[in-house]
Amino acid sequence: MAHRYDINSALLRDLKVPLDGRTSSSHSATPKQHSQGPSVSGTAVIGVAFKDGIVLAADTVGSYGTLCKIRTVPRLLKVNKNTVLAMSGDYADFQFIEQHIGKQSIRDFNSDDGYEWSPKSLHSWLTRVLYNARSKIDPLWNSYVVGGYETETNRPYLGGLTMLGISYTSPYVATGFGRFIAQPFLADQVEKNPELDEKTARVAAIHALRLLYYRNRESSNKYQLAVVTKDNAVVEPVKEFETAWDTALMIRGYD
Amino acid sequence: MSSIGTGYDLSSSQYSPDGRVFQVEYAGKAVENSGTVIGIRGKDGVVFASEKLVTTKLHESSANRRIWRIDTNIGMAAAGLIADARKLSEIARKEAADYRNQYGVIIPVKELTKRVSMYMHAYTLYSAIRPFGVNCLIGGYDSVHGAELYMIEPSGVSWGYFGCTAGKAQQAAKTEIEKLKTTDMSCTEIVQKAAKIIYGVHDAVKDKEFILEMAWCSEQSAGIFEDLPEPILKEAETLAKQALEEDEDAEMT
Repeated sequence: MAHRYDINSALLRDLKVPLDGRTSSSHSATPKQHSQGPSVSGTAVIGVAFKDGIVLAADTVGSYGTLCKIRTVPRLLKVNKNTVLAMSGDYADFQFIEQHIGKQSIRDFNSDDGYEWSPKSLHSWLTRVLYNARSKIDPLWNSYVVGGYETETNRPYLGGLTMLGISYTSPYVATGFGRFIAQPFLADQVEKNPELDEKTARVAAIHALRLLYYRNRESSNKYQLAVVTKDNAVVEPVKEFETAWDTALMIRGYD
Repeated sequence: MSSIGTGYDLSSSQYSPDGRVFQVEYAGKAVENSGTVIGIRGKDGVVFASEKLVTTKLHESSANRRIWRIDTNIGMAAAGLIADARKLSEIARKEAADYRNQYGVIIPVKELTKRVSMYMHAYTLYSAIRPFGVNCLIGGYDSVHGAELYMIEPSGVSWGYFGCTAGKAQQAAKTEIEKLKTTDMSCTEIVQKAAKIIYGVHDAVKDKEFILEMAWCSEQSAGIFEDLPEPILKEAETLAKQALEEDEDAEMT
């Protein structure tokens, strides 16, 4: 597959870790390692916290390089009534994580003691998994947004996590390309209106996806939202957002 | 040793001359000392009820459960040695998890029963180990297979049932279940009958107190194996107590 610019591999290059032989000359000392790069992948995801909940948004494309291999694939996972997860990056690695989460959910169900995943515990656990993997120089090629409602603090929870195991919480989160395009927009929205309501947060999240769609050929206008409020998490059906391409005629210098 | 076993009861790896394995039969005796457990299969789910005998008031009421969740829509109830039963519940959970991992769907109750019964059977073959002193009821409900209920005996033998029971009052409870037309009953009805049976077969003189523990997996529980919701359990208990008092009054006159 042709080499393409990828924020995560750029970060790894900065760390001077020769991961896949592509970073040095063609006569690399390390053998080519096929497991250490994404295959079918998803692009940026968005998370926005509002007054009494959070909203996550993602488009539904599974890309194979620049090929749009799968047009409708869910990238939002409902973990339980308080917790949802949004993924970007390698879809197989996400499915691996999804299975782990599912197993733990059943163990929690069986023990019947009322304890289950919370957004905070999932965020923390995922951080350890990704950090461990990257420390073995075999990273899981994903960035995540973990969102939900934290029943212990009675507050919404929104956190981001990179493939290197860097985790953070923030009232607005974006992964991948979204960190450059969507995050400044979301920062502006939250600055103007620190106490967002659900409707504004939804509109902002969708608009962030729209901004990305205009600039990223790997994305699409087919998207899903997940909304979590107290004791209620809903992953909504796939929809399409409106776009306007009339300004495209004025763009010069890219052809 | 001059009595029944006559030397052939020391190991489950040896038959007696008339073809019995005494250790397995003794394991059955261990089950008969335990509180009664019943399982009933209705048209829209399965119901488990257990007479949890209270040996001391110093235990919390939730201690020493006899009904366990195995997977989202499968449960297990057991009569016999509680520690043995807990081990079996762990085995059942592991088998259910392994099956999910391999095939990506929940384990069929029949397959789970097969695996747990093979495990129990293996413990009847060697001299160094003792058979499980447990009768193990496994039940579940889903839209594909409908309601299913199996009971495994200490020998590792298992059967499918419309209604089954194990423990102290096995015979009495069995007679009561046989009076029911279980296949036509919904779980809501079965719950009340099951509570009545447990209250009816409880020996208040020998055992004093007990806690009624009930769980189901049915249409009403949205296909999830769970403890009976508190209000439904309370209602069933109240009705069972009333029925018991009426019976006693009838006997007086």
